[in-house]
Parts: sequence; structure tokens; C-alpha cells
Amino acid sequence: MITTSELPFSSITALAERYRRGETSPVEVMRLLLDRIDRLDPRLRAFITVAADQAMADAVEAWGRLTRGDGSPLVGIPIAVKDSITTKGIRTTANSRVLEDWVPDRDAAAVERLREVGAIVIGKTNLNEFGWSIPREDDLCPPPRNPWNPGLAAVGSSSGSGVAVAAGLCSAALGTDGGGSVRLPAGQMGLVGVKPTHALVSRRGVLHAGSIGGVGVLARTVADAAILLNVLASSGGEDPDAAPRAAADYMQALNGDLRGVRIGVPWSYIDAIPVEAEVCAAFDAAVAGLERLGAMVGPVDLRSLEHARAANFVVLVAEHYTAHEARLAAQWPQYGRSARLYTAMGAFVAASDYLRAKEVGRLVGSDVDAALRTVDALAMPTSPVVTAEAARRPDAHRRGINASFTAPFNLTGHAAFSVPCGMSAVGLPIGFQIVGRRYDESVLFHIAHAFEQATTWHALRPQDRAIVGDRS
Amino acid sequence: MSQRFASKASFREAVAALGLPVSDDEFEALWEMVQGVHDQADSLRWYLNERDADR
Repeated sequence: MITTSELPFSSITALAERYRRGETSPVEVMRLLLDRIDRLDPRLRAFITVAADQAMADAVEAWGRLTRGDGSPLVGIPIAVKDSITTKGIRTTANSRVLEDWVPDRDAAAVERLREVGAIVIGKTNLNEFGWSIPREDDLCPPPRNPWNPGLAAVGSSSGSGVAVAAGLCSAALGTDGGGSVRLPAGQMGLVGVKPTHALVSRRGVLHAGSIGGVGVLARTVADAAILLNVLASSGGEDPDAAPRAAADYMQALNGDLRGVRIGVPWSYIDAIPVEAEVCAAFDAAVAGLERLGAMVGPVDLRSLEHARAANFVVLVAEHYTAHEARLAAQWPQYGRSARLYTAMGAFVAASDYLRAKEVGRLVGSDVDAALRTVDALAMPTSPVVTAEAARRPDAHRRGINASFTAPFNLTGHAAFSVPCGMSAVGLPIGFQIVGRRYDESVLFHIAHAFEQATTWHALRPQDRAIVGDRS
Repeated sequence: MSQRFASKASFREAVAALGLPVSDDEFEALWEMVQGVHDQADSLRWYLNERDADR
């Protein structure tokens, strides 16, 4: 019999099974999670808005669906949604005073899909203001703490989504990722982070996704991420950038070892980045683990990724300003100090800079495509650093160094996952990233699942007493 | 360091032309940030030239 201390950390698959066996109900789970949010979130700050009343009403409805035999694996599953993804009837602020009281009248496409299959939106999660700033204590909602070590910040921009899943305040969460904003918090909080192929998940209703951002998933297990992407993935037509494709069942990929799987490591690029020693050690161990599972691991030359990182930064800067141009001057005081400067920076990017950055994306994308014709996936660390504090050093943050391994694949549009692979001395998890061909998420699910089954990193969890007891 | 603006004064004029009400300390921070993104944009121009020369 599962205890109330274990229930909040159930995987989606385990929770759905308990619902079907009648061992618990969506109402019971929702009460438990709302109680945990009451106790833990004043310290963690994962949520900007908790949709308690609506979530309880949805839990009652979900229980009805289950008793009528609804077989969807997401009926009654509590999902948190990053507050830059619109939710009908629930305030959507993007953690900005500019949108402090905005209640959308329509769900984003991703939220709509989740609700259709019975998932419950438990609340809206914290983020860097508009996903593009260094968080500050005077933000609309101050920055989240990392549940693994509440003395440290949670990295973003989908920081609240990562905290909510890691701390057992929901089953999984939606985030957005324009340079690593799903994969980086997933890596730092011991979660599976999925940035799908560009536009595989419709971006309708995502605030300022631009040409390289999109919806991603933060989950406790690879299977949970596969269940969510099965629902979220579009078969084309919903997002103007999406290519038509046959629907895939990612659960089918969760089997077997890695014999015959070829994995390329861009060592020449990794060695050129200032990667912390603990991250290097965890990544080396992950590579050895992949080899033990039968994968053939070898080097690939992708030094051009360095230019994709810089190009991604230029594109983000330019597109972010464009999205805010009409209101920035008039509402300057309502933007946080960091957000308004990060936004204003883009006013000084020339059209030629932007077009060159996009051209670099096209060229590096073809380099990655060429590499992925010789291997099935690429592997590298998710983040060069362990802590958000290191990632946010102004000199490094303004050049996007913290996103060295993640940002290139926003620009090129390839699928990229972060998978837990280690633990640092300060008690924060470490992740590694695998990258696959566009629309070939199944290969990444196969690799991630095999690695997860052979390791125990995903089974670790932060301790509640460290969260409520640490007031330092 | 990138030199898109002849001087800080000309950058200040560009900021004012956009109507952005930046304070003095915000102006200094924005100046540094803009120099940084210009450096990155310049690195892309050099990279594309290099890559073009290799073809």
C-alpha cells in the first residue's frame, strides 16, 4: 500500500494504475497536492497561481470519467503549466506586471489537448519574466528555490515547472524552451526534460514563442514524458511550422537495450566550453553507462555548434524585442528591471544580424543532419554548470554560455531530451542531453528509457523537511 | 569590443529616439549588453565569411 508521502511522487503510469484499481482517486490526490502546495510553496515559489477550486472541480469530473471506464492514461493527472502558456479562465501573467491581471478566454493548444483527455491543470508556474530576464526578488513573483537545496535558486526559465514536479506538487508540467528553458531546469532538478522537434507541439497560445521556441515537457520518468508527448504531438497542420507526419506512439519505443544504437559525442565542441568538473564526471559516467547497455559511442565533429549558440542568442534577442516593441516604452516601469533591459537590447540588433543568425542556423542544422546520418543520436551534457547562480553570472548569461549545449538545437529544430545522470556536491542533480533527428523522438525515448532503467538517478527525490526546515 | 555606435553619446541618442525611459544606471547596463550582442553578431559575420571562403 502506498503511503501519503510516496503518492505525490508517483509516476503518471503508477498513479493511473492506482486510480483504476480504486486505491486512490483524483479527488484524494488533488487534496494531497494542494495541501503540499500550501505547506511547501511559500518557500519554493513554484506557482504564481494555484487553480485550487477549478482543479478540485476537475478532479470530481475526472473521477466520474474513470468510473465510466475512460481509458486515457491522463484522466485525473495533475499537470502544472508554465505561466507563459495561456489557460482559459486562469490568470496568465508570464510573471510580469504587464499582464498581472490577464485572464485568457482560450486555452493554448497544448493545454486544450491535455484537458480533452482528462488531465487537470493544478496551477500556473513561475518563470523568468516573459522567459527572458535574470530573476530578481522584486519580480511579480520572486524566483523559485530549488527543492533539492532550497538555499539555491532553480534555473529557468521554466523554473517553477521544474520545482513543482521535483517537489511532488504535481505529476508533470509543461514548460517552454527557446534556448534550454525546459532541459536546463529538468537537468538541474533530476527530471526528464523533452524539447520536441520544432513545432511538433502546436505553439498556439504560447506567449512570444518566436521562430525557435516551443512547448516542452518536464516529467519524473521517461514513460511519463512519452505519455504526455503522445497527446501533445500534432500530426501537422496545427502549427504553421510543422511538417505533416504520421502519428507516433512513443510508448512503443520504451523497450530493449541499446545494442546496435550509434551515439555520437561532439567532444571537440564540449572541450571548448568551460564545463564544471562535476558535470564532466557525470557525463563521462553516462557515456560509459550507454556503452555498457550496448551502444556504440564515438566522436563526431560538430564544432560549428559554437556559432549556433551565438546565433540562437541573437535570434532570441531580436524576436523578443519585436514581440514587445509596441508596449515596451509605454509600460517601461511595469517591466521588471532585468526584463526591460533584456528586451530593449533587441532594439539594437540589425536586420542583417538577424538574417545572418538564421543563416547560421540553417548551415549548422545541415551539419547536425549530416552527423545524424552517421549516428542515431548525439550525447553531451545538458548544462556546463550545476547551479543557477553560476548560470546567471552576468558576463556568462549575456552571452548565453549556460545554454551552450541546449540553444543550438532550438535554432536547428532538432529533438533534444535531458535525462538525469548524476548528483553534485551541493546536492543538485546533473543531467545529460541526447539529440535526435527531427520528428524522430522515438529514438530518444528508446535511449533515455534504456538508460533510466539501468540507473537510479530518476528515483531520487528531495526531502520535504529540507524545504520547510531550511530558513537560511 | 564591437563599435556599432561612434560613442556612448550616440548610443544615448538612439535609446532616446526609441522613447525608452532608461535611468542612468540602466543606460550603463544596456550599453554593456548591447556591446555583447553586437560582439556575438559580429562573430557570426566572420564565421559566415570563413565558411563561404571554404566553399
